[in-house]
Amino acid sequence: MTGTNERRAIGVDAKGIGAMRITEQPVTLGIAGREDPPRTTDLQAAALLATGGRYRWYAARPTPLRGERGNTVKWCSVGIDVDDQNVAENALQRSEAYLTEAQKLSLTGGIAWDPASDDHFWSNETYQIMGFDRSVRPSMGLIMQRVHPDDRAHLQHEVDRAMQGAQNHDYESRLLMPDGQIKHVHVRAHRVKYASGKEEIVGALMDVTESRKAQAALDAVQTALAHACRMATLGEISASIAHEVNQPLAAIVANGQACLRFLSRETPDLNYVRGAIEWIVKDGNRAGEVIRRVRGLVRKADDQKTLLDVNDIASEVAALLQRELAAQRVTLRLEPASAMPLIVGDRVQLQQVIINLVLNSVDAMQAVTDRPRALLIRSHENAAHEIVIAVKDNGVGIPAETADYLFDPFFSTKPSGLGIGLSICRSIVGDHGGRLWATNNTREPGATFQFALPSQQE
Amino acid sequence: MRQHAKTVSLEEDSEQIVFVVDDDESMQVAMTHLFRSMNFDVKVFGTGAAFLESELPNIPSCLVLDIRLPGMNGLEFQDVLAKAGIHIPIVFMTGHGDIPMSVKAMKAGAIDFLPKPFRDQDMLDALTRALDDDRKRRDQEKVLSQLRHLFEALTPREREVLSLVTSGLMNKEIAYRLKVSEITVKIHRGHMMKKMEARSLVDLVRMAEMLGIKRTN
Repeated sequence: MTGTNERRAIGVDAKGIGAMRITEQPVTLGIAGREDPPRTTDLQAAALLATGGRYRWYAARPTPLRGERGNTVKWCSVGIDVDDQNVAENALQRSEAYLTEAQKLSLTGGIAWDPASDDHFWSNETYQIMGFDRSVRPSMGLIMQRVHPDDRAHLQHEVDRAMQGAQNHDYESRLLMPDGQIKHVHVRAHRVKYASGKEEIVGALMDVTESRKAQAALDAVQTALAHACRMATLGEISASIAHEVNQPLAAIVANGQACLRFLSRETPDLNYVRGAIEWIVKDGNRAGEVIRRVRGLVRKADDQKTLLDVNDIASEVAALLQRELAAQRVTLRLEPASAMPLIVGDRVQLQQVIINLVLNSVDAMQAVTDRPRALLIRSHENAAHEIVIAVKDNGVGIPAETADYLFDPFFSTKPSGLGIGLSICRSIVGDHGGRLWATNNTREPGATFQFALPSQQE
Repeated sequence: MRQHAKTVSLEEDSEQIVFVVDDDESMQVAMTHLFRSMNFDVKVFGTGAAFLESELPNIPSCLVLDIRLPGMNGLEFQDVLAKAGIHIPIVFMTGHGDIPMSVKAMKAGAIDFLPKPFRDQDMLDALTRALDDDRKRRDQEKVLSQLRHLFEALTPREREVLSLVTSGLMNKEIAYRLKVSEITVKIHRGHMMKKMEARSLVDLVRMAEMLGIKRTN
């Protein structure tokens, strides 16, 4: 224990203690013969020189042995080696310091919650993330107050699960900070059962706002890239189309001009005119043939159809357009039907369709000032087992006089519109074996554009 | 207005022809129709080689050349023509307005560079300019060959006198240089002026320049 052997240790008297190296105050050891015995009989710690040349920590408890007159005859002391305990305490302190730093660095806060007593524990970093001062006493009410209104129902769901004894929790939630900033947090927790029988939900919450932002930016860039790649291919193809179509086109123009000149002569040369017109017809057909051939080619080159979940596509579009929608003060709600069969399609093309429909709706809601601009993307499976995506707005609706031309190429009601958006949408949906149509909402203002795609049934 | 004027001048001098080199049959036919409607004689070729093999009439002419030809492209063919000493004005046509190509073509002396499909008026303007250029060049060449002919008829002594006179020397100086009397110089000079059909010294200097006779000092 002391490094000396037991026999020697037993024989050590108070004088021997004097030989001990006392290193810490207020450690005082009573020495035999002294009139004023130490009030405390429980010394906290003392260091004892060990034979190995290293100090170890001891807790000593000197007890005075009194004579008949009550005087101290002898001091007896029991030394308990607490060196290992001290090392462990130090390690614990260090470990706590590490944890605090790590939490700060990783924007991760520690949380514990006892569902039975509703006691909460938050680490420093949790307070930081939640944006509360350390003086505030954490509670479920406080958490609810911070969670984004749209995510409160989900948090309640997690709380209910915990009350019912769920073992694990892993979910994401948004926090709406007092300054309007939105934080994304990832919460992970487990039920811990202590020896005392007490149970707690212990875990961590991580601020993943930056990573979510980066992910959204990455997604946007990837989509843009996919689009750019496709455009580049389209560019190459269109250069060859340009030449192939331009040749007969130039011939048609030259023949037409020749006809005008022949006809404006004093005695029009009808033979020449007839010859030129025959060639115009021939070249026109040739140009049409080139276009038919190229379209077949484009379709083949662009075929990137895979199994897709339309709800994924809808939420990707929602993420992509989040900024634009916020800028236009449009609230987008997603109502995805659950357990929907997959469809076979081209992700980017279908994204383009939904983006087009959403942006059209946003335009249609521009004039709306007397009510919140609300947009709804809903999916469902119809009786014919088709997957239907509907984009519903509460905008100005479709004027009766334009309803028939909505999907015609180059028809636009917008001053700067090209009028190809809806026509492209319809041809993409058509390529996917589906159909696209539009109706005005019956009981409320606005219009609904929807498309149905055949589902992939096993 | 301009078109009308052109038609009038055509009637005065209809001896001219437009050549077309384009590998596309539709374009060959269409250009034939268009140029006929503009009252030009037209001859079309499918390749540059076919054009080179044909016998070119000695009348004002120009070449309408597609920049995109199988085998040898329009720019290369322009180069071949220049190296073969065939000085025919070229109007280029291109399917896709390629700026670097058009710059190259214009630098190499092309008359114009028209994107297909072109406006007939633009083509007519280009052809008019091309044929006018060729006519001027031919006229100049005709004058030059006449001058050469006259110059060749001069005696060696008269050629010497021509060179010295057009260099600005006085008869006295010429006599001194040639070591003959001034009166002899005057006689040579008179014959020379008559043979060259020069009306004045200025006229003679211009002829000497055209013939490339070096001045002696």
